[in-house]
Amino acid sequence: MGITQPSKLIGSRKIRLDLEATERKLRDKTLELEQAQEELAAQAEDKIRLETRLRLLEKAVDTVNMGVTITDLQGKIIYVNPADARMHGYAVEELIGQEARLYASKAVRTETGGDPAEPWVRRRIDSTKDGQPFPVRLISDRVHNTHLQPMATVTICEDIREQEHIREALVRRDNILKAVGLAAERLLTDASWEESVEEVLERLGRATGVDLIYMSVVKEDSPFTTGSAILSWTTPGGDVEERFRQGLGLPDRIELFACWKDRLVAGQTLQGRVSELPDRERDILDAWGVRSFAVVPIFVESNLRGYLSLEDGDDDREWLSVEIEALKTAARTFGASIMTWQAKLKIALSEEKYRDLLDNATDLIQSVSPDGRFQYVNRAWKETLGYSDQEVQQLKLWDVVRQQPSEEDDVVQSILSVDGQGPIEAIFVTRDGAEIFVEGSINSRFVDGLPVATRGIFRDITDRKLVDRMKQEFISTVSHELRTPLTSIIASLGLLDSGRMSGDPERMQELVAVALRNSNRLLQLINNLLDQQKLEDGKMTFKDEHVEIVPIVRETLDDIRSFAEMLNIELSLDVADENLCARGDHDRISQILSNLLSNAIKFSPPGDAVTISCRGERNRVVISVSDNGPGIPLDFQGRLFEKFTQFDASATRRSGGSGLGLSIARGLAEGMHGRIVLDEEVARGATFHVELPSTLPIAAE
Amino acid sequence: MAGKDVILERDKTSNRASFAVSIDERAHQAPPKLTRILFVEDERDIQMVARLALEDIGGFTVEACSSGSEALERAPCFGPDLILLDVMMPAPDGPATLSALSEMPATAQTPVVFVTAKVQNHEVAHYLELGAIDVIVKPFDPMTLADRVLEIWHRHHDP
Repeated sequence: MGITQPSKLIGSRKIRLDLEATERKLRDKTLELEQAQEELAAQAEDKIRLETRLRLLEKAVDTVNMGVTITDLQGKIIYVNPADARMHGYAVEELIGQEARLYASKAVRTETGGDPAEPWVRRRIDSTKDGQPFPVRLISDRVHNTHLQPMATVTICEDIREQEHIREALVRRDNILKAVGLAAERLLTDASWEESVEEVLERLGRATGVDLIYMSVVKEDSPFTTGSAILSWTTPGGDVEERFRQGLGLPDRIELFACWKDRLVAGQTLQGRVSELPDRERDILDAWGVRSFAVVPIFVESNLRGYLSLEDGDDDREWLSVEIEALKTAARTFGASIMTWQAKLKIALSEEKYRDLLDNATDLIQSVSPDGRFQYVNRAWKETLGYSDQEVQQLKLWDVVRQQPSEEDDVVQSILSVDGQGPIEAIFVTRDGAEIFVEGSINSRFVDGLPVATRGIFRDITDRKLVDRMKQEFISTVSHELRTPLTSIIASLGLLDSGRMSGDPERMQELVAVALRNSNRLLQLINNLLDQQKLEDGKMTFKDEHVEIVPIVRETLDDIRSFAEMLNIELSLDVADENLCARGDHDRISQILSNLLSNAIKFSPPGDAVTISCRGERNRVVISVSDNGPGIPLDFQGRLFEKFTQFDASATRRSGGSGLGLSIARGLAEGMHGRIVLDEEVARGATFHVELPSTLPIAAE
Repeated sequence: MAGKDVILERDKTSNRASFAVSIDERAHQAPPKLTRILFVEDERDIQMVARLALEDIGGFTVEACSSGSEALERAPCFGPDLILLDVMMPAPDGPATLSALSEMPATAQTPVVFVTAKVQNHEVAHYLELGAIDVIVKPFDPMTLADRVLEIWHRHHDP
């Protein structure tokens, strides 16, 4: 502006200044307006963004799987998302304005969580509209206004049925595996297989929560129809237990198994609801009250050898794969244990077989350690030697083997010898001190080249030894008895034959008498031997006739009188009844009396008397022969009538004695239905009574 | 072969065997004469024939006894050079009598021969173990009995 007048200048300057101020203000306003416009635009933009976000959020909440509810401060539902409504079986509209507590099951309500000012978490059992309970997990938080005052509560609700199911299954699997661990430990090491199996089945049964669990195993080498060895566990007191214990419908079960066999052989596991089974199978299990089942095959060396069956009365019992896998592990463990068990059983059986063989052997079998202790003795050994198992443990070999002074400890050494010996003869001593003759052989058992035991098998040959001894005694006795008269015969005939006695007729006569007498004695001995043999063979013949006893007695006395006189023994006769009659054989009766009298004479002291008496007693005739000799020792009386027995082995005989006389006399008496008894009540000497069946006197008949 | 030793040796280097014979050069004394025999036998017939054989044929002086106890009683007085003893007799039997005779000073050194019919191997071994110098078997030949007794007698004194 180029104006130069001062007044004018002053006025226009003022206007210019005002204008300038106005311009400045306008500019400022314009700026303010522009700023306001910008802010407004920004606000509008924010609003649009917010609205979009809200729409998206609402959409998300509506479509999310988790339930979301918003309740006001009074607990009334002001918002519920479709998922929540669906989870609980309601429509969204039904729930708006309702109490949120409507969901919670009255039965169970579990609260978890903390300070109400913070978000809190709860596990709750909710109910659907139709009353089905199910577990949920809730996370709740309060919504506040700008003044930090609570306006509403937002709750997120999660259906945790599946999670709980999985957790439960995992717990179940863990328990099954624990049971399997126990199974492995017990079954593969324990002696009592059945008990271990039952314990493990109980664990498995409890872990799986079934009503019945059983294992069915077939014996090796038998066709697999169904389990021949069934071990089981059932929930105590259940219906299934009752039926199972009673073994009801077992044929049905066999049939059921037949239906499943092929699938089991193929290694399949069968499980599920009974209601889904084919008719027949369903009927069978229905009858047992079973609603759900699982069958796991048991393999031994890739052969189906059994199965594990789990049954439950609950229709909804689900068989989770983790559970089935754990059961398969259990089945594998059972399979391994069956193998071990059967191997053990085989060993036990074969051990039992051998033990049985050893125990039932009649031979004495022993196993002795190098220090002389008995490692094993069989039953025959114990019975023969009279020792108990406990006593055997305390015994040493030398307590049992009789040491012969001449052999020192050779027998013991032989029995302990590691070289293996052929026939060994030894004398064993029983607990009571009796001697048993044994013959046997031994051989040794070596471990790492060192002898650990010497086994011996011995046969009791005591009887054989006794027979041998008797035979020897018999031969010795008979030989002596034959040679004694022969000595006199040969010597007397030899002297006669030499002609040296020809000048002495009296001596010659004497020698002839010696030969004759001894020839008769020899004949008598031979007759005795033959009679003994005939009696033993039952070939002795007897006449069955009426005989008058007294005449026979007198004849016999006459026959033996010269023998008695030679030994200076007097014979006396005591007859109560002259007419005594008996049934029998005249010659045999005479033979009996002759034997008895001959013994009595031989054993009487010179100058003494032998008495023979006859009497009738009811239906028998009794002839008694008594002497005053040394009598019969008590310990010999039992063997008195045995052949070739003489109580004094040094053979104190005055005129022969084969040891056959009494044996033959008894045989003859018995052959005529009579008997001979030794009178045990006689204090001095010996008295024998011959009893024969009496008959009426011949004259009376 | 008491008193005479035969040794069989093997030479280890040459592997040849050699025999070494050593004979005991004992002073050769004349044996005492056998004259008195005590004959113990419970069988009277045998006693009789044996006595005839020993006395009439052998020319010995014979004292016959019918039992062991009789023998023990009469032996010290009779003083036999040799005793012939039966085995099977009324107590004391032959072995018991032998044992008793050997304990009596008069007969402790007197040789005893058993005359018996019990002559199984183990029995004969037993008699010799008891101290009998020999055994004469029954039945015996009466004509050679004396010779047999003399033979035993000589062998006993000059083995």
